[in-house]
Amino acid sequence: MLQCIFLLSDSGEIILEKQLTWHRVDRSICDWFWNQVISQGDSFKQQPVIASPTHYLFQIVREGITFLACTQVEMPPLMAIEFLCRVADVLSDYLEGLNEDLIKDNFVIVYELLDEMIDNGFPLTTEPNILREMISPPNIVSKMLSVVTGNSSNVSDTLPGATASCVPWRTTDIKYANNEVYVDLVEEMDAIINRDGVLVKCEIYGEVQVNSHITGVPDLTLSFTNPSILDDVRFHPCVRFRPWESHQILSFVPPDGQFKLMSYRVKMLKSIPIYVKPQLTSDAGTCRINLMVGIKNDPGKMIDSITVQFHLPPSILSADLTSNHGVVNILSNKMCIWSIDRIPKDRTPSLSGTMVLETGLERLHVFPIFQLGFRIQGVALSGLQIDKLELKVVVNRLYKGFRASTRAGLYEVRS
Amino acid sequence: MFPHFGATADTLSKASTIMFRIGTDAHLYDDPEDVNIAPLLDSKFDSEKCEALKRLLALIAQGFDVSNFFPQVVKNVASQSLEVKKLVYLYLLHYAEKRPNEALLSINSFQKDLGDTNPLVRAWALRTMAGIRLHVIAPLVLVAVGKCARDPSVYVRKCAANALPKLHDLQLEEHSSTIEEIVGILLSDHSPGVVGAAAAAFNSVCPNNYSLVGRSYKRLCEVLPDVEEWGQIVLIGILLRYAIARHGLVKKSIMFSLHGKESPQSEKDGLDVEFSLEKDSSMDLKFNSEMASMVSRCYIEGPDEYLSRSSYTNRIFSEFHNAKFTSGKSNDDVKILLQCTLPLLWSNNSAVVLAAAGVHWIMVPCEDVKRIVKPLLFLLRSSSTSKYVVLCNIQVFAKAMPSLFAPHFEDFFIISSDSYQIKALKLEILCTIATESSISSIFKEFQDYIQDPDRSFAADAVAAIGLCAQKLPKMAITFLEGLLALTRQELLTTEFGSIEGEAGVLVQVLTSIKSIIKQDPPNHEKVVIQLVRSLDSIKVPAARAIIIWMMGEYNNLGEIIPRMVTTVLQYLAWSFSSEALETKLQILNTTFKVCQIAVLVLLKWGKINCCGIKLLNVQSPSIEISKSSSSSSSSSLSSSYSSSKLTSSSSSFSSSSSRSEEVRVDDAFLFCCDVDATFFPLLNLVFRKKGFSVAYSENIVATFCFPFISLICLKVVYYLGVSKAQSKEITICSRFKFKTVSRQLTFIDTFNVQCIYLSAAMLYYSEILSNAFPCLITITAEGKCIEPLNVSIKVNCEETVFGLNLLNRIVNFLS
Repeated sequence: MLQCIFLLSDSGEIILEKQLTWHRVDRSICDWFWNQVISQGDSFKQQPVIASPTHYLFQIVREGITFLACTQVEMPPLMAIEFLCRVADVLSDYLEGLNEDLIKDNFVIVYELLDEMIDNGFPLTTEPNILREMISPPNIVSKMLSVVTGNSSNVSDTLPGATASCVPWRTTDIKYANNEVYVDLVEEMDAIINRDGVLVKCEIYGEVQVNSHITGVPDLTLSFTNPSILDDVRFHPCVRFRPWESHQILSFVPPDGQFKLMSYRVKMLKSIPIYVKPQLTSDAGTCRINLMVGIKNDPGKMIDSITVQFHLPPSILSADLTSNHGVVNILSNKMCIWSIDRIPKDRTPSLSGTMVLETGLERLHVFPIFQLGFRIQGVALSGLQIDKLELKVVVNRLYKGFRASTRAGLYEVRS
Repeated sequence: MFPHFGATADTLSKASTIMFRIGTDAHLYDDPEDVNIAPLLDSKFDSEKCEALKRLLALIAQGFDVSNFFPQVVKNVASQSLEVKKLVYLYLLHYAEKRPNEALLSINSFQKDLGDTNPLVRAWALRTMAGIRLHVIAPLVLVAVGKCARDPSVYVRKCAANALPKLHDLQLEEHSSTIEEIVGILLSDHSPGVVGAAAAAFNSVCPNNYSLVGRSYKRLCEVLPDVEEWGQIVLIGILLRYAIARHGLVKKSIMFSLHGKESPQSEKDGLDVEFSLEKDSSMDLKFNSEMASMVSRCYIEGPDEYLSRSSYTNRIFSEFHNAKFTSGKSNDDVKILLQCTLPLLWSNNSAVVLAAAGVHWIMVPCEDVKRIVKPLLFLLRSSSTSKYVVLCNIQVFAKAMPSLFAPHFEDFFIISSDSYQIKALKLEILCTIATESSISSIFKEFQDYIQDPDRSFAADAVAAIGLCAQKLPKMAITFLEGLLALTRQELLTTEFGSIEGEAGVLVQVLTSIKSIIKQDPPNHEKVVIQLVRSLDSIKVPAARAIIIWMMGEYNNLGEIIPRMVTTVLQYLAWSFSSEALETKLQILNTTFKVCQIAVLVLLKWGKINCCGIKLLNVQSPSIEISKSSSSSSSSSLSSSYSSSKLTSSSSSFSSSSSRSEEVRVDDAFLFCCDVDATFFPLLNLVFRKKGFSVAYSENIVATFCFPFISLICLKVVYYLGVSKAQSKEITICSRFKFKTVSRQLTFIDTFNVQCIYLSAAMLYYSEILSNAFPCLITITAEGKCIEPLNVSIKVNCEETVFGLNLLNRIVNFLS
């Protein structure tokens, strides 16, 4: 079980520490940690589990804040990581963002939250819904109150009813004048196109996001017309397993507000909406680059926010890139971003230019990888379709809304 | 004007931050001590107390010790304000251990709070009371926990469960049974929320008290999906341990097979039939037993005697139930556990998915294990933070059962946003799961990776190709071609070899080639030749070293290489002085290997009739008589070897014929075999130049050949020609010594040939010191030409196994 949690700023300063058990963890562990970060650089920050001389450390980094947990006993590492992620989620939800100042400004709330979320190193209350009732988030009203009266308590006097409920994610007694529920299919397309221009891998990672505002304790069922295309799924705890096992129907009592009902994956897709054709030729110390982007399979809706970004190989000294459409930016870390937005009707966007190689280097031998970004509103490229959404006990009027969108996830074109 | 404007902007932004921070506790964190805290604590207003406590908390957060306020803070524990209470508790828990006596003052207040009508107050009181680590109050806390374990509020019962490990930590021997009893009560609680916390308590209080689990095993399984995620993780582990301890491993499951392997005495015949894993080498076996012991350690946790006992019962059990377990599904307990953990593979919490997958991995018959594959792979995409841990687990699974992940190789394709560790893990998994059907796609990917901007990753990809080739020998030729193409391609870039990464890739390419060749050297003779020819253009020292190593290793291979050897050695001799240290070492090593036969012959002493004296001295490399052929040792190595008429040193030695007419002279070696009178003037000339007097005899008998290329010194210490009328022998006595010191190896070779009339005596003395592997090898060979040779070898080594191995190898080599 976890023994201590530290929150570190991006300069390695300890913003706060929370000891969880009697086995105190000295702050010096953070010095050790930060020394390693300095000496080993980014690769160290990407290691979620670290064995220090005295403790096992788990770390996650969110918005520059490092959440560091220490333990000396055997425990499932994913449990610690998931818990830290949950803490980070709850904090950024409470503080409406996450940065050093926000944590310092609201350190009492952070302490109270941590104290409630973990007891003796084992998670206690992690359900955001209940937490919100126990410790109220800072808001304008409470801030004003504290200024005016010099007093405001954000600690609730009573225990939230949901702690005893069998649906702990849902606050009891919610009332709305208008009952509404929105279902969004948000998909990300992952694709790898290899150096020969062959589509090696193409799949969709999708989420069903629901925003519900319904009175009472509603019981919803959601079904798809083609659930068989789903390769794998993961559910919010509210989804009942049985109906899905037998009929592939999502039956659930939703939490109030926005939440991720399920995530899914559709594999082995064969078509991509946009092609990127890079051409690089190098000779006598210079390299010519030509990059064309166009629509390959029209999804039927407007594709926008198209961007192509790539890291110039380290052996390139300077680059002069122009495009016939959109804006090209080269950042200081040799990251090149070409924002196209929409593809014009009359011409194919292309980026071309010359790059000067390091002296002594005749030809380019390391080639950049192009990351494509795009967004398509109104279409779920996986082809997943919602059949119907039903409420078991019908309230007087329920407004239902459905949307779909696809954007590029890990979409890579190698050259 | 502009600076002024800038200043305004600055102030504005400052002002806006201040505005933004108004109403928060920012000022308390920034300057916690700008007011006197002590009087605030004694204030009669809750708000002032709050402020003081918040300031104290801020100081704690910043790492200051504020335990001196303890007495004043404790007084406030009785406050009616929940906020004050909460803050006091936070402070108390941080310092209670430091100030036990003052902490005692708070107990009464807790006792009172425990009877409060508000469950929140009861829960907090219990949590804090249990958190104060004091033996004196332990009995009180125990009573309180017992009471709260029956509290009507779920939340309070949950806190009671969490309080149990705290009590257990105090090591109250006399109360341990009571604590365990409460664990039992909470485990059978009807609320899933409590069960989760109770499971955690069980794990830390009495992880082996299976009777507690046994009582309500079935119900625990059924309630599993409703327990909250953290509880699920722990509970899954407990149920799994219980099932294994009670019933042993499921027949036909992977773990059972592995476990069975570990103890071969148990029903071996039956097992081998069941065992459906693909395994072809002893490496797998070793790995399997490692796996098995790992599994025992992790899943049948507890003291050693428990471990041995449980594995014993397993064996008995499995033997006993042999018939029963044919389907692997007939045990109800196992069945229900599998049933109830199956839906958890859909959990949103990756730790739960992994825990559930673990159950199935261990308990399910081999053919059903694949159901965990997709959920595991999905974890890789859906949560980036847990990617690394999940991959580590998949790696373990894949090693034990590569076929499981083989169809999903695409999931391990690497994308540029992966961190280096993840890339490396994916590569390793790809190597493990590559099959004949997937290897071509995987190889294509690998080739892409080689052009990745991250050069150390590119080098890893090359290494992965080498690994795959070892796994799938059928593909070796294709791989080799790809790799060779790379060496040619990399050649272009090595000109500016300053880029470290490039050199790393090239070295890795050669290492992979080396490992592929090693598998089947006779088939890859041409590759070696090609590489040796490219020595001219490859500049990276480590890469050169590998090629030179191969040259030495395969100097006997096929037809062409043995004929190349001499020329190559000449070339190396020529370039020796300009080589890097590691390359120099390999040159010496290779030369030694090439001469192994020579040395062997030498060791067999009296049989040879050869004379070879190396006269190379890099500082003054020109010897008059060598001019005739010195051009051949220039850099154009690749063409010269075939035209060279010189036979290699080894072949001339192995033919221990008494008369050989061939005489070789070049700048590297002066070499004569059964030198006849016509050649002697030449020898004479050389030695005269060096200031020796040479005696001549028709038969040169006792001589030695030592074509080491040594920079350090080659010293003919003394040269004695004794010519007696009846024997007409010339004896050459020389002493040869060189010493090379490098970071890795230290050689001290001493060669002593002392030929005293009719009884030439030789002493070969070699010491090899290795720093990398601390050992000292001493080889001594002594002999006279009329007596058998004495060879003694001594290895001083800290690691016995290594030493013995080495010794064996040397003895084999010498015999």
